[in-house]
Amino acid sequence: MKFTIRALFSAFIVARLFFNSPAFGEEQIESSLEKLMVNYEGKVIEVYQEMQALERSPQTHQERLAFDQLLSNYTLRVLEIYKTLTRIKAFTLENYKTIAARALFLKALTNLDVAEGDREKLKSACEDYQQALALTRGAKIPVLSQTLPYEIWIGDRLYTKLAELLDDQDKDRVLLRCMNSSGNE
Amino acid sequence: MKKTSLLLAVFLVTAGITDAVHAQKVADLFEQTKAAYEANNSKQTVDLCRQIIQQCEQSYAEAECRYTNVMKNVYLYKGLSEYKIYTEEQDLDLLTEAIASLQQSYELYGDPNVTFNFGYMQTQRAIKMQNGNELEGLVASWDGILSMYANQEWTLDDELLKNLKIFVKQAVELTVTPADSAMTTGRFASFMVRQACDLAEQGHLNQEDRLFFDVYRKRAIEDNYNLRGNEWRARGFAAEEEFIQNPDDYSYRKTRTNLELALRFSKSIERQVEMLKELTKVALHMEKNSSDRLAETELVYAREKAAQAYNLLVERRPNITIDLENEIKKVYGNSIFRMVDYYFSLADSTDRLNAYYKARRVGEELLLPDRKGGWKQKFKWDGYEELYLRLADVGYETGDEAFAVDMIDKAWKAALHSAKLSQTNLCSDVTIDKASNLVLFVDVYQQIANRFGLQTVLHWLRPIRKCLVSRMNVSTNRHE
Repeated sequence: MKFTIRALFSAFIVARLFFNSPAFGEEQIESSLEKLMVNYEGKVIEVYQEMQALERSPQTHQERLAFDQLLSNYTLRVLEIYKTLTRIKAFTLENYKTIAARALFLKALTNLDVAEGDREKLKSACEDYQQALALTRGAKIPVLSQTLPYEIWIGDRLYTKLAELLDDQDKDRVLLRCMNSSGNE
Repeated sequence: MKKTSLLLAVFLVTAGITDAVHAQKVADLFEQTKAAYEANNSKQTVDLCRQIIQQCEQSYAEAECRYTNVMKNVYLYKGLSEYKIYTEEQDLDLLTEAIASLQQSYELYGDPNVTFNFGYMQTQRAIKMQNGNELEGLVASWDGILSMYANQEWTLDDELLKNLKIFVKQAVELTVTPADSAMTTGRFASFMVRQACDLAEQGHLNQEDRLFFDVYRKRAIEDNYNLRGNEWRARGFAAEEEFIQNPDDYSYRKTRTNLELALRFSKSIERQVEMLKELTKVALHMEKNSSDRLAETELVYAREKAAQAYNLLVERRPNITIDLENEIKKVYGNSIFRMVDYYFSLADSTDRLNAYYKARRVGEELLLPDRKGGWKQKFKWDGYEELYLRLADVGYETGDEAFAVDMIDKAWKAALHSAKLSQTNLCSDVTIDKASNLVLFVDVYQQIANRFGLQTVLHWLRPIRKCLVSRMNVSTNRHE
């Protein structure tokens, strides 16, 4: 419900911009939305890195949950913009899909990070992972193997590809297994 | 039979009244609710909202119950009125009710203002309940702020800026809740403050607002993102300022508590030594300014904190400025000097020798063998000559010739060093102020030399004293 209202709201703003200012062309709207999408993706990365700076201990659990929620909220905003772009354009650039997918991958990893056996969180992680893969199906280079447009630092380790991050952060291959169990292999 | 008919009549009349009450339509009730809410009649608003909700829960609810625009406002009015009553009565149950009502309103219609408000209330409840790890409120109010920002087409207005400031203050308050134990690492609160500052910087801030966000950004970043420790430090300094103006017991306790918390939650050695130094300073200030307290307690405390700071300085070599290092040395030296002086002054009223030996033992904490059979202070500090002088007094009083002579000799040399004078050109270079200070050292030196029969010393001291006194007399004559 919340998501729908927010999505509708974004669409409303875009529509207002579109109709109220004739000089403000479609391309400009698209470019400002893209900027915003990149900005929010940046926030997703920021939250993810900040969260990784916390050690895993019972004392940090509440904070990690709060970071997880914050990252989810930023990801929802990336997805809203993506959906708005799909509405105003006949076809969507691969770049937008890639941005949305990257945010979803990180959301899945974050959910997994805080899950600690919580079924809801694990389910949500699986759904995000599946949605991310579905979004980028048919990409020339798989999103997971693409070099990231930014650096992700966790401790002393630098990640330049999501695949490396997934290998390290999802050591039990939970996300891979959830793909298998949903029959999407 | 007659009785039964009467009962039936009473029942029918009662039922008729009840029906009449129930018959009041939701639309009418809503109008009344709106009027009560606008008239700031919180209790009546809550009652009316409850009636509407109750009526809407019935199987055949009226159409208004299905209108989002009506029901979102019913829950909104209820929540805001419950919150108003809470602020008057401070009943936490009411706050919980208010949060639930606003959440219901948000579920019906995702108004970002409502998210911000219930997030704010959740954090307020967490603070009130001393539950520093309840962070959902911050997440919710931040979500509200971001949505409001989007509503305004990504521009900042005064209202949003006000909300950002409220958000920052709440995040800070939550991270220092409870005061005496840390339930989180504080990293999340620090991150949220930084996020708020980033967003605020997107707008045109006036000078006051810019200062506000600059201060809190700094507080969220310094000492490895130690918002909690930095906040206690800031509160400690603010309390200290007040304490310096008005050194009473309350402001002293407040300052000490805040600074001790800043010390407890500090992350770096640099911060630890700074807080230890500050604690020493306030304890010494308290001892100096209070007449009705036992000075010894504060002096012992000051000495302990200063010694801890100095030991960290020597053992851990923190990356601090020369100024801070000098200040640490000064407060350590000063706390030792004051304690020596305190025990020395006790000699008049208590067991004399015992007091002198106590004073000496304290003073020896700062002394090291100087490889010439004597003693020297571990480090030079602003005022180190005074400690030598007082220890020379102790040596004189206890009849320890070697110690007294060693100390007064070092005191004299230290006094010349501090005054940036050399003994050879003393007479020509000394100013009036310096002369009156140096003469004190010469007097003690002469006293010691007399007691222990040091003729050579007396020989070279005599012209020095004469010169210093004549310099002082010049000033006296001039003033006359």
